[in-house]
Amino acid sequence: MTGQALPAAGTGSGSGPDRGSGRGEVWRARALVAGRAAVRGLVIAPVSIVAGIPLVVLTVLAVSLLPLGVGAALLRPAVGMTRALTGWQRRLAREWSGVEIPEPYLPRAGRGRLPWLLGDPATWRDLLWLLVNVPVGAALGLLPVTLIGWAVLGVLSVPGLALTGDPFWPFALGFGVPALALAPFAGPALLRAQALVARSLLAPSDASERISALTETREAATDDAEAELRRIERDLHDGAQARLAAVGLSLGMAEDLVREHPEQAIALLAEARQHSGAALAELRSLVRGIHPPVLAERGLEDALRALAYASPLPVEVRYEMAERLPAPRETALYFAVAEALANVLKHSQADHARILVLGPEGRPGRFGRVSAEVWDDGVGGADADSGGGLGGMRRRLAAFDGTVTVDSPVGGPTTVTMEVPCA
Amino acid sequence: MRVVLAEDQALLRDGLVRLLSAHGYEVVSAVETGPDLQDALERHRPDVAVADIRLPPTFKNEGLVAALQARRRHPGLPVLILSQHVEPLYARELLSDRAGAIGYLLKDRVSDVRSFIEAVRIVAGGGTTMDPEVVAQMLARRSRDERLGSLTKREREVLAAMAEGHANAGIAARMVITEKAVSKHINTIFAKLGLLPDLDGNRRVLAVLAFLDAA
Repeated sequence: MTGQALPAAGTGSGSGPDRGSGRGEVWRARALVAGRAAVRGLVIAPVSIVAGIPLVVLTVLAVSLLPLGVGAALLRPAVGMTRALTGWQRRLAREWSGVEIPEPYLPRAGRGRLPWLLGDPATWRDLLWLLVNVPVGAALGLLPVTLIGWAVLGVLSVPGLALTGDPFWPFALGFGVPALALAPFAGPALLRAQALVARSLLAPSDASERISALTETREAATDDAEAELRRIERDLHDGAQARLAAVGLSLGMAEDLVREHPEQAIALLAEARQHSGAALAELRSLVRGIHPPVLAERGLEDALRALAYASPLPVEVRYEMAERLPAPRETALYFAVAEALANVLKHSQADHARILVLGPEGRPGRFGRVSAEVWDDGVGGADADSGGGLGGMRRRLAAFDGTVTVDSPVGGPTTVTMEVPCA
Repeated sequence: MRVVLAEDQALLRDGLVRLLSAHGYEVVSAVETGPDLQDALERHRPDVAVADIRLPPTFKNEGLVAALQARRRHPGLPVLILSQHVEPLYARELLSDRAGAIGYLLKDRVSDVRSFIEAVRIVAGGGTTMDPEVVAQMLARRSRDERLGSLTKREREVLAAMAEGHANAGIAARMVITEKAVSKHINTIFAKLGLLPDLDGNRRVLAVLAFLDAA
């Protein structure tokens, strides 16, 4: 706040036509800043004191009464109100001091309410903040207004004291003038300090950030796996299973007819063969979608070469990675590249494409990560967020802490880069 | 005709032995694993080998590897590779020594007994037969080779049929044209692909390779 408000007033003084009124503007702006900080401090301090202590007491009471059952009923409003208060603190910190405090709360994810609330470290960190904020909020909230008080009292009392010959007047001048000078700068700084203290306790710790990222990606991964299994089940049910049933039927009928109507039996046998061929073709395409045979037989490099080779577009493959990745990562990377290449074919109108795989050894600074890049010379303008395929690719790689970035200026070229840690 | 067979699934192996024997082939060795296939190829030097691409012990592509190794030692050793899936990349590897006598088919094709036996005969006779699915995948690619791009639609159809291993009579029957028309098309294809009559090697193989290699 200090940094934003004062230089603006400063330029006003420099460029103003009248230096006297320019200086006046500066002082008016400073007074405004100091006054605003004082008012804001006066909001923060009482709330810190009045709301903090009862909430801590209520929560402790609720937890200690848990065995009696009443506690459970108390805990819910206690945590609810605490989170409302921390939410309010987050908003004030952002709007008044420009301090962002992200929310660390874990998603409920199907757990009971009590285990969810009690098991979340953020619940206890909130409580700690309530306690710490009683003195911190009170002191840092009241200081801005106190400073103004000193300044006003000190400076105003000097003439009176001096006239009555009171020897105390240099003291009044001594703290009044510095307080006057400091107030516009110190006020916002004190509020910011309060916001920073709040952030240190209310923002997610590194571990809890990691936990929520893991929770999110794990859920996405299990959702995707579930959807994939459903699709496979449906494909098998409607495809190969139905066709094999038809094979059995045709064979059974042929068996019935073979003595009396051999011609019809032969026709049925031919039909059975057709059905079995169709069943195999369906199983083949299903297998390709689950785990491409080339990947199983040759690994990622040749699988990508096969992908490039079978593509309707000339695709150059450069593969510069000596080591083999763990199989799940190879598979994920393969499907991500396949998806990116499919997007090139569908949307880019490109004449050429390139797949570039770089192992960690080739890229100093990207320690332990492998990147796969799909480049094309098409029209560009690919939207990183619109494509459903891209979203799936991102979710799939996120399960390995992998990332997808898209660089696609309008007019091209487009580069989609996928990165995965090696292990 | 002496055949070495490599297939790890007992049902299919027995079926193939029966099928081949019924059509006058002598199965001198029916093995299950990649190393056994290599041994059998060395020991028996068959007139044709029929091998599954994926075999124990690693269930990767040891059938293909064993066949390619044996052909390096004995150029032109006829090999028919069977697989649950076909991959144009493998087709190119199989053809790349330009010696012909190569087949690459989906296992499904076994159920069409007559054409399967015909494929074995073509390969044993030094010809080339590629699964229609390989050919279809290659046709789906935009033509990247100018020489190939200069072929007419009709000529591309003839070339695809050649890749599947059909002889002129077969191509003629399939496309409902005369054999004379077929050989005229084929000569144009050879000319457009720059395959001169005095070239060593089988021009049909080279044409198929050009078709597969149009990268």
